[in-house]
Amino acid sequence: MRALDWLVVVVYLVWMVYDGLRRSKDTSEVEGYFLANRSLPWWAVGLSVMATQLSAITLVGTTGQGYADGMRFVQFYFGLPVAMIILSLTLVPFFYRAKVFTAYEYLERRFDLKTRTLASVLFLCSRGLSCGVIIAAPAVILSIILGWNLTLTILAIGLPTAVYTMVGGVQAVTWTDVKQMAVIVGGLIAALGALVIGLPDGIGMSEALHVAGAAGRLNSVDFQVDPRQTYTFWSGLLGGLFLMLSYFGCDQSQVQRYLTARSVDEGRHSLLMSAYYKIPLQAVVLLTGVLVFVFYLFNEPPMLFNRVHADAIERSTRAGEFRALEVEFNRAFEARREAATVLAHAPEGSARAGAAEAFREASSGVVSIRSRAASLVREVTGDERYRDKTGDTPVPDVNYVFPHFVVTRLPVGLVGLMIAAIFAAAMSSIAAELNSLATSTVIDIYKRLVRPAETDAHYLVVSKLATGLWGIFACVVATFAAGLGSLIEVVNRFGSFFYGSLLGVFVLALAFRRATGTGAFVGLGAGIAAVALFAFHPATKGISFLWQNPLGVIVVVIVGMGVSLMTRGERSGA
Amino acid sequence: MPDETESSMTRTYVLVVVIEIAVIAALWFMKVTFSV
Repeated sequence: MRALDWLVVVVYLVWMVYDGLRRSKDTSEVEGYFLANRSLPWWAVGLSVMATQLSAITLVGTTGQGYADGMRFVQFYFGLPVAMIILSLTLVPFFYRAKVFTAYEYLERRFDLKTRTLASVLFLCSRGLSCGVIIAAPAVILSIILGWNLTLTILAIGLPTAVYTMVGGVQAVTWTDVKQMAVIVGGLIAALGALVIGLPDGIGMSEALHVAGAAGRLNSVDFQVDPRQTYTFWSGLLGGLFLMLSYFGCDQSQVQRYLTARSVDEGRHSLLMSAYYKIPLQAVVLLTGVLVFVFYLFNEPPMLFNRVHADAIERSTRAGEFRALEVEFNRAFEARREAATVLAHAPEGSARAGAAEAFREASSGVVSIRSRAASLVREVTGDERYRDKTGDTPVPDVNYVFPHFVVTRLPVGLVGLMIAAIFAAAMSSIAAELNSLATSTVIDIYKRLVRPAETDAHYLVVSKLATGLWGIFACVVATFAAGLGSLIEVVNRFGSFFYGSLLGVFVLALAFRRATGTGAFVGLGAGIAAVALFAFHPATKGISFLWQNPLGVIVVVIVGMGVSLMTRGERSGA
Repeated sequence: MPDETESSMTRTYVLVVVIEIAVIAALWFMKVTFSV
């Protein structure tokens, strides 16, 4: 990075901390600190909802997905608009009129304390750990790509966020989210512009998209009915619907965003902003990745984007094999570049179809050499993740594609803007999570179970302390998680076990008047166990994770109602 | 913003669905147009 890029990143960080800290004057009570006294405009809340969902690993990983596997990932979001409509009709007015601070508070009113506490503890465990992962994932990538110290990168992302969230509360979270969304979208537009300008002479967007289409990168709508295909129209629309209902309806990090809105309708409109813009935004992020793929058809890419392993091999006894592969890779790349150029200029009809066939054959040569390089990495380093691929790219390489492009190909200044955008994406998600973790800790645990009769000033001090402690916890988890790739997967999986099941408890609460507290409690446990079994059992292991969410809901409702009917003497239908 | 009437919110929900269908159709059109 050059001096100008450093300046952009530093200005961004100072701006965010300053903007967050100056919000502290509006947070003299707990309701102001956690819910902004329910006074925020819908558009700011809506941008905060979108910024919270878009983490750095989403930004970097999604562009990598676009490069490796094309546009198909966009289908993951097809259930989102319908989920937002359902939530606007059900949970949003319900939570708002119940004047709750947390989604789990309602579970005690409807069921009992143990159900509320279990839901809250599950949220705290999964979100507390995932907050560390949200810091660790981009920190690892940036430290490798830019050569930064890993611990310092973790602290550069985590500490400023923890400080302004602790001091400024939800006001700081929301208003910095608004600016962070602007930085992210600005960075993406700049990257897209640079990619279009960077296409070779004689190749415009139309030709670039034809080449991408021939490589199968524009397969954005797939109507196959195959549960083992992760992203199809059906898995996105149905499985994604349940995931989005759970994430936006039962996860405190999102519920808390729309509880800050001025009115029920402003809360609804804040969610509907995502319904309008999320799919187009994700399509743009994926298209950026697709254009990076086209860019590297005409400009030589590295054989492996993750240089750590490549460097490890070059220091090993098998360095000669790796260098020989690189020579082969260069030849295969040249052959593919020629084939891509012919395809881009081929007239429509049989000439283009023939050129596409030749291009695909040339591409398979590049893919085959990359696969051999990945096998070599696996043999030398023992990293088993190199066994798997996303599309035609080794899995551990996917997240490094876009950052590598940014630092090696973008002009000075834009590199800084994109690094700031990656920081912004990470910080917006972390801030919302720290804020919601502190809310649940104080409202669901401390105030309810530990010290129920203290003053508002006392709870405000504890709330700020809780935010700071969760920030420190997240940085510590990030430091450990950074060295353990498999831990990141475990944390992400734990979250997915819990989502569908928690949604099931809210379905029980709202739709089944005969459901009891014990039914909900046992149902929640059964749902999590069923999803875990489904995810790990050899017979169902390969089925798309999106189907785990409807499964969780169904198991919780069936078991919950079964147990409720057996424990009918308890309170129900509050 | 005062709470809107139910019919006004219903129009908004219909608009969301119409826009989603249009966006998916546009993605489908892009796939078909540029597939070789």
